[in-house]
Amino acid sequence: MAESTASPNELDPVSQFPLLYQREYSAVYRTVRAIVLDASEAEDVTQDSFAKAYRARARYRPTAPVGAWLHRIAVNTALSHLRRRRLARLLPARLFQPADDRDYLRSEARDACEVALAELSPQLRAAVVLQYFHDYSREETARILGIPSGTVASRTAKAMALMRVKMTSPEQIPLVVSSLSRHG
Amino acid sequence: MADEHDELRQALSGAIGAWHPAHGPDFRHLVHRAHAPWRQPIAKASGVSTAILALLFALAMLVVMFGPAVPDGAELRSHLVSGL
Repeated sequence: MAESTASPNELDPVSQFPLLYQREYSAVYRTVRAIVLDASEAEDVTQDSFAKAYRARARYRPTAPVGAWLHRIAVNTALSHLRRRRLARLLPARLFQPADDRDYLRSEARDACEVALAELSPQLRAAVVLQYFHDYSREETARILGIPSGTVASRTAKAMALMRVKMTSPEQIPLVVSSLSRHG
Repeated sequence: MADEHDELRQALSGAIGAWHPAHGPDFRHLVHRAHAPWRQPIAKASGVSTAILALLFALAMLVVMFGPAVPDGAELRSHLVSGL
């Protein structure tokens, strides 16, 4: 695995955390939202991720880019959040709450990509957003997710195949058309 | 196949790129959240209670497995098994 190191122009999390927070906030928010699939929960989880990074900033070692370090914290926080949410739904007092992500699909007309993303497991969504939106290499994605790079390759291939099937299914065609016209 | 892949990738980038947080970054709130003073005692209490529950569960499992070998074990074992 190629060792990627932080470039000298990178912000230092110890002395420049406010700047880093400003610069990376939207990128981390998008990663988190692709995993949790809810805009308001994504904001809360993003803030929680940065709070964790702020507490851990002295332990950052520049063996990887600072953005990858932040994304690693954010992915772990988002996956823990989903695990807690699943557990909370098992409690009797919370039975009135939606049972799973299918409610997300029913709640309103979603973009075709968002609907296709919702078909994937959180781990597949994390691999897809890191590699295909943030353009992290397979090795960087593997380091962020803490899995072998071969697993990243199989996860992204599986995710793309599932998304392709979902986006070409007959009920998705009107959504795909509106998505393409919106995003050019 | 490669074109399809690129199209999907492009659509994905467009969709995710259009997501914007409703609230911007708030550093003061972040620092307050990071230093939440209630967090440490609650985490400690939660950890201790989890350890106690795990210990009780392990003891109960030992009694169920080796019940007849300890004094009054058989009675305790039947009580624990009936409660499962």
